[in-house]
Amino acid sequence: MTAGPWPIGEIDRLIHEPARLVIVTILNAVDSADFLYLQRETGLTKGNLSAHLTKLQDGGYIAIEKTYKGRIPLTICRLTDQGREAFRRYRQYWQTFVKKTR
Amino acid sequence: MTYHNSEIPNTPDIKRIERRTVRYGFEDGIYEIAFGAFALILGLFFLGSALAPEKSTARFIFDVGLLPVFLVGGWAANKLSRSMKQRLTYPRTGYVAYKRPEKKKRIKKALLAGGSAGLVAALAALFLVSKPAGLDGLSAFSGLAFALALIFISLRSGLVRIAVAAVLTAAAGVGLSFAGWARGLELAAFYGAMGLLLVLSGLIGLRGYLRRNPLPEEGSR
Repeated sequence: MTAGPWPIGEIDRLIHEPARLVIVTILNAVDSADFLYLQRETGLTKGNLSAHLTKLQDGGYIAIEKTYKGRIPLTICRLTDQGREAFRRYRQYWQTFVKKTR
Repeated sequence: MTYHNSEIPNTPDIKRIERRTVRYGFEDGIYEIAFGAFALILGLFFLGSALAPEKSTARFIFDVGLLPVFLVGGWAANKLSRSMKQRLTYPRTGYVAYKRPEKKKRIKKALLAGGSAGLVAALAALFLVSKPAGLDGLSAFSGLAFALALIFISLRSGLVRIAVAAVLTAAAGVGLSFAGWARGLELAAFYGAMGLLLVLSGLIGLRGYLRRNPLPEEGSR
């Protein structure tokens, strides 16, 4: 790929995918959230959400923990430091992009 | 509503998503119920203090006990709201833990909250013990201070219900300062009114939340 005015290669494609961007944005705003909350907020099917979470986990962006709150089993997802940093960089990239294209 | 991958909007509104997470903490009305109950207890405490004869043991206990009641009550309200959320909210719409501020900010916040609670408690104790002139507007001051806090929460969460509670709290505080009652009774009435208002607002929120979100079927987690 030749270098153009927009370094497309710099876009983090793991976050850029809309469903994963919603997941990462939610997790960035909180300390952690469980599967049910993420499913309701994203509106994704269970299978789809699972697949996206696995991709984010494989990329080191989120950590998944299976636990209990009282007697309720929970699958808790949390953004890792690497994930938070990636989201910060992604956001910064788009803010610069929007400013330059105004 | 269930999206498939291709149906997710292409440009998610990040600010809106973040606001929804804040709103989620308040939309079930549980915090209002818990802190409304706390305010009701404080109201009863102020009432007891106002009705106890001057220089009696009961009066002394009420005056000295104000700060511990403030601190323990705040802790208990927090505990109650967590327990209610665990039973009612998490099984229906999921569990969310909110970010704790960094250590430095946490210390600042704790100092600010502790300082404010201490100041209010000290002012109230001073007011109840010595009844100095010029403190007639304490319920108005309290009403405006709590209304400001509620407006802040309402702006962050986008919940109109809390803004309405803020306006009514301010009105109750300012209104009661003109009632011309004995000062302790005025403050007791304010905390009682605010407590009832918050519990009512919380119950309305909780009723709507439970209607909108029935328990999911077993094994759907």
